[in-house]
Amino acid sequence: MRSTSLRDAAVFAGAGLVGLGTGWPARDFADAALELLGGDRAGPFEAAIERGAAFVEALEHKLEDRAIEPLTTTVRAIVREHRLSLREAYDLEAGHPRESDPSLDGARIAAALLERGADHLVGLDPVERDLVRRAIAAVYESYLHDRGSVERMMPEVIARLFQMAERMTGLERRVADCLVELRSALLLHSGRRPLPSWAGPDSWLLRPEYGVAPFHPAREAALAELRDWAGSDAPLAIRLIHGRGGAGKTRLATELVSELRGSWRAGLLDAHEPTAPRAAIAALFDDTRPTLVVIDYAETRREEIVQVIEEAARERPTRRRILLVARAKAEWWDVLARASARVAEVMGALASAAEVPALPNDTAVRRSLYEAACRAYAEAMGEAPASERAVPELDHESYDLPLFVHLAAIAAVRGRPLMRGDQLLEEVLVRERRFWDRRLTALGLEAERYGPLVAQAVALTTWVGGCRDRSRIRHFVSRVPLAEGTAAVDLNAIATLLAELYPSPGELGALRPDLLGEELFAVELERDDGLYARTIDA
Amino acid sequence: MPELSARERKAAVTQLGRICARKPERSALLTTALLRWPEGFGPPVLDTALELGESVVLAVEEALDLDESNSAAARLADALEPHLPWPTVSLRHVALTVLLSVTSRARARGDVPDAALATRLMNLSTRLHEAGQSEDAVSASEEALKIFQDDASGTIPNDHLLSLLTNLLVQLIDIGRLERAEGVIRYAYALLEALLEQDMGEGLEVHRARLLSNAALVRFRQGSMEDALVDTEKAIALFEPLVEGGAGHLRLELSRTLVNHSLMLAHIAQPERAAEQAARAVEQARRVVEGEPDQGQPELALALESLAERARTLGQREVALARSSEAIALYERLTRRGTMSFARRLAASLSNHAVYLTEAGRADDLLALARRALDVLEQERQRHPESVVEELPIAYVTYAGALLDEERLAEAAEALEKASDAFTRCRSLGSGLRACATTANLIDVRERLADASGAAELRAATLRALDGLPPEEIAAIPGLAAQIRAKCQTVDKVHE
Repeated sequence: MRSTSLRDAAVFAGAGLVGLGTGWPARDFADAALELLGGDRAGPFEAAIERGAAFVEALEHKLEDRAIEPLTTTVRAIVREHRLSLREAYDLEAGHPRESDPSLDGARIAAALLERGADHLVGLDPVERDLVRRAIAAVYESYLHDRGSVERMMPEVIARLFQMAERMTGLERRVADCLVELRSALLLHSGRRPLPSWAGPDSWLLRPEYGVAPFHPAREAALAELRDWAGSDAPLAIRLIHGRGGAGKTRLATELVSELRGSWRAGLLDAHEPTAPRAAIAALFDDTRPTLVVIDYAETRREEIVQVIEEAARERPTRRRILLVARAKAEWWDVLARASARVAEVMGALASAAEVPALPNDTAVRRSLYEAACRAYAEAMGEAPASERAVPELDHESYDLPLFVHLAAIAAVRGRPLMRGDQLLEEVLVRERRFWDRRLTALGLEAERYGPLVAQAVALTTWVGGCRDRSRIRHFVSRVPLAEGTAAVDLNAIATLLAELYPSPGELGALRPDLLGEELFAVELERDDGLYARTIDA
Repeated sequence: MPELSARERKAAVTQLGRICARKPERSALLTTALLRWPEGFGPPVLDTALELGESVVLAVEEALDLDESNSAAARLADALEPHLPWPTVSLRHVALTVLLSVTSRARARGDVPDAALATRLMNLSTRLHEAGQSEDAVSASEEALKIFQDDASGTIPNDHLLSLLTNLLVQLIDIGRLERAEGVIRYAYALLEALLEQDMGEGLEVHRARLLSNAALVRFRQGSMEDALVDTEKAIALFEPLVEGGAGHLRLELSRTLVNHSLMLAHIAQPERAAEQAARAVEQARRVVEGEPDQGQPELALALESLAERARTLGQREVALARSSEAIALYERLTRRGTMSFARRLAASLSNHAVYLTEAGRADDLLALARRALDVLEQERQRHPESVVEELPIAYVTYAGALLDEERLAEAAEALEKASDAFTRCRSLGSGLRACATTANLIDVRERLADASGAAELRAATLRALDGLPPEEIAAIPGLAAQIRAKCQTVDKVHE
């Protein structure tokens, strides 16, 4: 089992370094590690936590150095209990006295990790070893001092780590392979996240990454079409799926990724900075397995798409698929095809597009989807399954979008009267506001006074696409009209609350699914047209 | 330090754009934001418009269309101007509004607009014209011309000015503004004479040939057939030696002029000579395509269409069908490539082919052809809603006719309803009349389907609509109004 522990070591060391330092979710590293290990596919996240915790424990024992203990505690207690990434865990541990904890010192952590890595990272010369030490120390020190700064230095840190991997010719091949895998794991993720174990707001239930409601047979035809497209003999193919917000595009893409992941290298491409090394994108297609790269919000990511297409277009022995997901097939699609001669050639011959179809106006199909969603949501909410629930008029036009059927299901499980269309959006926002009020009360803040402020703050944070760290959320919280005259300590508490409620890495504080966020922002802006006045340089 | 980073500004505008796309009645949220902070939200909204389409484009146009005295709208135009994506289709009108705003404010300040703006306007007008937005194309060209004429420093090359005049002439011919076209021709001739007098004649032969070729088209449209033929022949006589002398890049213009000549000869009942010139046009364009497959396909397709029509006149039905098929294949390829919209010409070619098939006694494919023409136009409408407004209703009527031939009455009625609806968006002369005729036909088809519900009201409404049409509309298609009136009134009497 030496090779297994070696791989564990490399991948988890990478997770600890880059994951903790840059905010990439540890879950993705864990998934990557499992794939490398050829572990069983059932419950990869649970298994990863077990392996990760065991590894850190063993490391702690071996080093006999208590300096690593907070990391162990975090991995075990936070990741296992809350099932969140390390980055999220840190952000949520609001009162944790890390900055004053002498054991959390960047240089000491770096030294400890290097000592541990010395068993595996053989062949480094002293200069390289020093570079590694300084890189690790820089990551941790920056993180501990100012978490926001890590985002700014992230491209440099990642580039340094991978440059080192490429230069480590003396490195044991398997470990080097692990680092290459890690690089891909940085860019491709499964699109799945475990639902936090504590009872969150209803909007969580609707997020495609949590997959609370089962994928329904009503969408099987659309998935089969994508499966056929992916499985065709063509060496390279590009497909755009587009449709209205709430049509279930992201869920569809995530299902395809889930099906293929394992026998394929498949995943959603994380939004990366333009400075991300092009080589990292090229490496996506270096696998011996076929590759599927999904790019969500494709219409807003043209530059990345161009890079991905150009790299995929290079001659390779395996099949390559690029799936783009967008709201509309508008002119951006034509503009994309003109981005470069190579892209034009590839798109002209190999690109296709299809609209994600509306749900059929077949009451039986919609009812089946509705009932499956009711069962799943009741279970997630800890409600007893009801033998009979009222069924809305599912032939109404608003129910051609799966999101609205799901909204109706949540409303039904919550015992709300039947409604349809935008009333359902309003209803879920009402419940979201009530949830904020309860959390405010738990924090000792008066809900009546601060509830409307939280609504403005969530609206504003959602409007700017979420934040990368809590200090940025704090900035927006302080800019909403109702924040004037509010004590700084209360604004801080509200910023923490937002990060807790809406914890997606890279878009902290943003209400999702998109349609909900858009509705909240529009409603809040219509109530107070000065909502964003203090955030613009006008 | 700005309050919002570039990423956040883009996200904010995207959010507003999505709200606007989902509920156009909320577009004021986006418009207001653009006017509140033009410098911050202006540049990213151009990307958002490309990403989300028409609803966002309309919101930007609305923000720009506010009264010129509105300083925020002017600031928005200034903020957008350096970021306009020039090869865009959906933002062409926005681009035009922005450039016209920038130039008109420069004039209001007593400044001469920057000559570089004239070049941008020229490029824009070419694309507007390609997209079928000829009125906008003319506005852009006229503004560019004004800037050229104001350019006292003379920094703008005469070559550019003459090219602009030719483009403007083509655009004016397209929208039937022949009087203005006459003015442009006079101005261009005067300019040419002046340049020749100043001994600046180098390269002027080409411009003279182009001018003659287009002037001939104006004469042709005005009914001065003799002058048109003379000018076209002069143009050919100028182009040919230039082409043979090595100016291969003019071969396509020679081909287009030969097509025009062929058309004029056909009009004066010289079918053999007309076919001969069309064949020469094909030969010239084909030589270009054979040398450079990416060049000359539109011209070759046009020449093939012309040759097909001439062959038909001479009774050479198989030749007509073969050349027409070749033209369709070229247009299909051009449409798939999508760099410029050829959907309208493909649809027209398909319709012509249907005629040739009918005459050859091969009516099997008519319905399929009509359906294909309709699909092409519908696809184009989805991409660029304004581009095929005129062609779409006619394609529906043709399709309905093919369905009626096969006694598929219910589908024909549906197609006529769509045609009737599509006519409401037409602006060309005769559209109102055609709309009335379509409604009258629809009533007939419904009655054949034993569905007479509301027929009397529909007839009365058709007659009222007919009465409301202006005289020039009634005169656009001689005799049609009388036919519609007779049809509706006769049946009314029967019903009474």
